[in-house]
Amino acid sequence: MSEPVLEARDLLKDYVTRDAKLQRRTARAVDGVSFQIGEQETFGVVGESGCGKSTIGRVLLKLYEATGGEILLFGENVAPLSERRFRGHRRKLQMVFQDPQAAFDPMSSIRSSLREYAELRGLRRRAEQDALIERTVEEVGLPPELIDRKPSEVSGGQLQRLNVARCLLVEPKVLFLDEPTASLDVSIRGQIVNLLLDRQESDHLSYLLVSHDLRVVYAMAHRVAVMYLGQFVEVGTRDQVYERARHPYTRGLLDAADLDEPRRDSSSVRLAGEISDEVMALPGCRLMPRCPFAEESCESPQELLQVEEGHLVRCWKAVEQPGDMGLPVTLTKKGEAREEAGKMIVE
Amino acid sequence: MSAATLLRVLARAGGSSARLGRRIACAPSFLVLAVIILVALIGPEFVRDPEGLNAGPSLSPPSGDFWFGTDKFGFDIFARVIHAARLDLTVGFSAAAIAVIIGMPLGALAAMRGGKFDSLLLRVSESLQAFPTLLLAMGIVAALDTRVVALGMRIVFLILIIALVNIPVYLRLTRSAVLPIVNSDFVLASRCAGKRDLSILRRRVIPNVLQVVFAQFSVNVAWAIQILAALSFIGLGVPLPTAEWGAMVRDGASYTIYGQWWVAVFPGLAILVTVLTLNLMADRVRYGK
Repeated sequence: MSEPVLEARDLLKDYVTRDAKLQRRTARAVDGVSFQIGEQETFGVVGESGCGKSTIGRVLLKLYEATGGEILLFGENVAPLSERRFRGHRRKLQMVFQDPQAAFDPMSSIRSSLREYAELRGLRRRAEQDALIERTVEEVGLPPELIDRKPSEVSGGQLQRLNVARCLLVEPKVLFLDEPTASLDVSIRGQIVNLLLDRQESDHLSYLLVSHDLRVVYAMAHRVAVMYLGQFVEVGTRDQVYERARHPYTRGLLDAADLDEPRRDSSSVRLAGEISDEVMALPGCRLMPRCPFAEESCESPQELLQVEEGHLVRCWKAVEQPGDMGLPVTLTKKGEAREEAGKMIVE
Repeated sequence: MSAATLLRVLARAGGSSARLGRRIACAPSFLVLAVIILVALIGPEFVRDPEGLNAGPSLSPPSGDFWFGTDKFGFDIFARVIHAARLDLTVGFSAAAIAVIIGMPLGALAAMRGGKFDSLLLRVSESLQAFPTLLLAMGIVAALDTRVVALGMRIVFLILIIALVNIPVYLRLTRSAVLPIVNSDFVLASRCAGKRDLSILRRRVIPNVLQVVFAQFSVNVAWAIQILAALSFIGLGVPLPTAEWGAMVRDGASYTIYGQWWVAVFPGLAILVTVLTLNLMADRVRYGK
């Protein structure tokens, strides 16, 4: 991988709330997340709702303040910067919102929302701003007249294109795509994915893609992280994660999504139960209460372990005793699994 | 935020919500209010002097000559009701306007800043709201003993006091309306564009809460008129012989049991119609009916 454009190191984010007795309670949404994104690379993060995946992007954009950790933008740690000092970096890092309707001010014309970004680009004169806006809107395949309407008068797919166009106005380096297709019609999702892929190539963009739609992540991401309750439980290239998944959670997620054909054989993993807050307090594996393979050793803290080049799993058992988990795996001496072993899961 | 900025925001939001404007303009309540305001503006030019002594016989019932009858001094009640419209609407609108101008930006800032600033404003407004509005206004008027000052100053005092007791209403209303907007995606988008808090407040937040606040505004004008009327009714508002609806109801109340109902009923009807109209208008703005 080339020099990372964006890097997160041990990112932490706590939300502080008060309970009925006005006692401070902290909920850790992001718990020690690290990753790098290279130029023109897409890093996908998948996971259930509420696992903290959207929070990562919002912390990186400094919309929420990080509780701990470093954010390196082209090698410079921007985490401790004040909003005033960070403003100069805002052009490099932008965000495409999940709900395009909510991403535009309902009371103002779309032009007025786009202008804010033209201003960030440094254009002072109205005429210059408008010229840039109209050119960019045409580039994403929309008639420029559209921008004088209110957001409620434009369709969701068109708005999502405008959402992308808005980011492109400032010539960003990294885009945080927060479920970019989740609130769109199935028929329009492909268009947006293609638009994003085209722009990635022409503008050398790096993407942080957060989604629970495994198909979209598969179509766009080069590397993928699977997130569960604030932590990455599996990280690897797209094919490593989708075809040689090791963590029980990843396998459960892939099975639930029925990506190709529903599998009902011995290798399928069914996750029972729901996410509960209590497991956050436990030192060990957070999936334990739901995991069909859980045993006593899972109560000790789990680290991300390398199973092959670039493929990390936060599950000791998947690394050491894959055979017991329905992974027909033969082990090497050092506990490293052979590639072909994992492949059988997806058959 | 300065008053000039607020006016710009109001004008901008007004211009950008032409549909809302049309919806209000077509409402019957709006037409009635327009008539009331017109009467308050030019009506006094066409009626008798409301404080002219010996204008007519004392306590004469409604007739062709005196449409609403006369009070014990022989003042023409019709003339007094029309003249009082000017005073009551002035006090009502200015008190509500001052309360909005101070309460709305404070509430919006409280929601945006949060933390200690938010808590402090909330505690202060809760302390004010712990008292019944009228009781609080009475207390302040009595404590300041405004009876010693000239009538003009006294009305200014009344406006300020009525505005003061209404500020917490706007503060809390705006705060609760702004809270979901502060965390909305389009405000985050403005943040991503590097916009500062005040700019976001002016361009994104305030225009989006204006509809709610405006609905409250017309209810509030009605409240202000009621408070003024109530203060005058217990003798803490506008003194005789100045025409004011509440004061006239007070003066007429004691005659009602002797059958001279017109002295209190006509100013009372004026209050009823005005307050009802403003409330209907507020409903119209809020629910778009």
